[in-house]
Amino acid sequence: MNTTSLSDEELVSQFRNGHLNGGSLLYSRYKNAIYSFCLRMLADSESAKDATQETFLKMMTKIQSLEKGMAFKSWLFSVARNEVLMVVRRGKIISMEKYDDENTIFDQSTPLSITIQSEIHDKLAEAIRRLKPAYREAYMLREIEGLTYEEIAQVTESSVSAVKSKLFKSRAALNEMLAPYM
Amino acid sequence: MDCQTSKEYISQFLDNELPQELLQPLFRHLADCGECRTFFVHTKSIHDSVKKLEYVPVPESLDQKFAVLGMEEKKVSVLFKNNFVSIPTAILSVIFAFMISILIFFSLDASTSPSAFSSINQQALGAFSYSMMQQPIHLQ
Ligand SMILES: [Zn+2]
Repeated sequence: MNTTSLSDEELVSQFRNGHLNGGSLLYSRYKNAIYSFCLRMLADSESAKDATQETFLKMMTKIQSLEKGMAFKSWLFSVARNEVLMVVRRGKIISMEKYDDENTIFDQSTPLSITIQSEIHDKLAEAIRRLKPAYREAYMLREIEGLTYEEIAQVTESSVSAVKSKLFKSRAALNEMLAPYM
Repeated sequence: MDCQTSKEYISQFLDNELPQELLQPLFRHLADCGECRTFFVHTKSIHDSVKKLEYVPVPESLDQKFAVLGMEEKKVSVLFKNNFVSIPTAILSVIFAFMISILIFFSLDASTSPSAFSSINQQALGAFSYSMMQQPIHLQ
């Protein structure tokens, strides 16, 4: 059987039954997604690496706490988000107040840098980084990870209507930031 | 429909989360409103571009750490899962088979032909290998 075609649920079940191979495949499947999420949230490669490491160590030790009915991917991103918040709480990168701030949607202090070679992707990545954390996480979980509104609400411990609102405001902010280049 | 509501609906439409009954009012508004049409086109363009953003690969040092925690075991399981034996069982089996071979060799009469020895030895090892194959997997 081709083990890479197994669903998350099947790998989780293998892993829970003591087969480390299942865990190892889950690590391979999600390592880059989790690292990219942590990196885009923290904008610091060392902290992102630590948060990613802690996320997968928790996966190895706390997989039994994954409740039935919750998708593994949502659970893993919840763990990663908690690790990001731990870094934030330690005040290493940004303060918790700034993380939770929903009054401003994006950083308007400086315009997006433009270089002749810069492509829309670079500008887009930079614009996403400018979104305030509370908006950035919802936007990435939807647009990059494809989580449903309900799953994002689970991961970010908020409501579906708050998620809808954050996604709309994030998109409006990105439109505003990128309008000169469209 | 006002422009604010229309833009909120556009966001939900791109997520395939806009209820069916709101599609017609939204597109009727878009037909009449240039501002919302521009918002739609730009938002859709960003929505399509963001899907092409690539993941940043995890640092190699992290891969190495997890290789020690997980992949070693994986190699072990791949190596032994087809033989249905665990490592200690395999080692003990080899030692045991060697001892049996020695015993058979010394207990045989000097006149025994090499082919008879070879046949007994193969039978003993064959039976032993079969018993090994019956054991369940126990990764240590
Ligand atoms: Zn309008």
